[in-house]
Amino acid sequence: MATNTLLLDRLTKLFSDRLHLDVPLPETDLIEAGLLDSLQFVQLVVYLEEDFGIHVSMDDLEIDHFRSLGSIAAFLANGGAVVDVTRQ
Amino acid sequence: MTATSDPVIGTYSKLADVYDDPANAASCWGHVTQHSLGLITVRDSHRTVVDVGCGTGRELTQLAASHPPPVQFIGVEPAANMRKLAATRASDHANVRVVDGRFEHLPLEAHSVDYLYSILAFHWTTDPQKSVAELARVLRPTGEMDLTFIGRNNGREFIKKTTPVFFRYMTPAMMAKAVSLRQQLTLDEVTALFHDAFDARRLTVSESYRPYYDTLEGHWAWWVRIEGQFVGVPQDKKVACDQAVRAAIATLQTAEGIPYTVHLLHVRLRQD
Repeated sequence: MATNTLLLDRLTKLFSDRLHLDVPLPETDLIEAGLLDSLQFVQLVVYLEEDFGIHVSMDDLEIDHFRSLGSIAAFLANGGAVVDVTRQ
Repeated sequence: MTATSDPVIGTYSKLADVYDDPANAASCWGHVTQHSLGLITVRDSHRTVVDVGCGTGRELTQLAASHPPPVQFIGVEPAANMRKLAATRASDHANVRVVDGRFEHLPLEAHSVDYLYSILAFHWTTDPQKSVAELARVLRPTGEMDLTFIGRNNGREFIKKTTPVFFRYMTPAMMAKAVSLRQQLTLDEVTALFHDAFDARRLTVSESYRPYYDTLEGHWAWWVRIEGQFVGVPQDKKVACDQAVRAAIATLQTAEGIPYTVHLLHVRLRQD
């Protein structure tokens, strides 16, 4: 739980600082709400790789893992990729 | 990527026969082209003028007609069928020739161009740095230039409405590939890009946002040419995807029509 909270905080900051998007709630559907367009989606994957030290394979990626801050945090925490949560 | 394998060039080549249809001229892209044409300044002192991405040669021959020899015009176009039409159009003009090429590989000698312009093409470059280096290579030290092309925030209304639809019909990998087909540069990125290669004192980079209102059919006829997603939608899903995208765009209807805001970037290089 603490890891998820930490991940959510870091994701919120990433969205704000790098994508310039303020996401109202962890469960907000980023795509259906029109917050995240196709280019921003690609940028998000790149930023996740840079900031979280992970590798995301586009070919294996499911869009549902990226629908909300909560689903991204779960994806990161549940082995979607190797994550170093201590990196800031 | 070669010109023959580039899906954008292939798409434009297929569109060549209908490119000069009145529907295109009346579309927002026709209006933006006319606006861009007004920014172009061919001077009496210019001897070699180049249009990169000249398409079917409409603007090229229009300018050539009002600037007879000794001004020589060269149209550069990578799409074979577009180039063929441009060459036919240019056959009536002794001072125009049309050649195969693209921003990344301009078939021109170094420091040979007095004035280079391009209308709505630079966003299709596959390599912005290499393209800007090519522009700097072919222009004379006294060379001038006007480029207009669409920027990062183009058509935001449509993108916001249609991204959820495209994600229903395309995988993230397909979307990533589609996004990569067109450069989506911001004003700051373009400024940095060109300042690296040209004298900043002679260079102006500006942007504008203009909404264009049209019917759904009017937008649909030509909007598709700017969005790479349409190249990537699987054929078996295309009809359903098109219907869903059209329905999403229709929700933007206002009393004036459906708005589409063009984010236009203008790179201007002058001696004075």
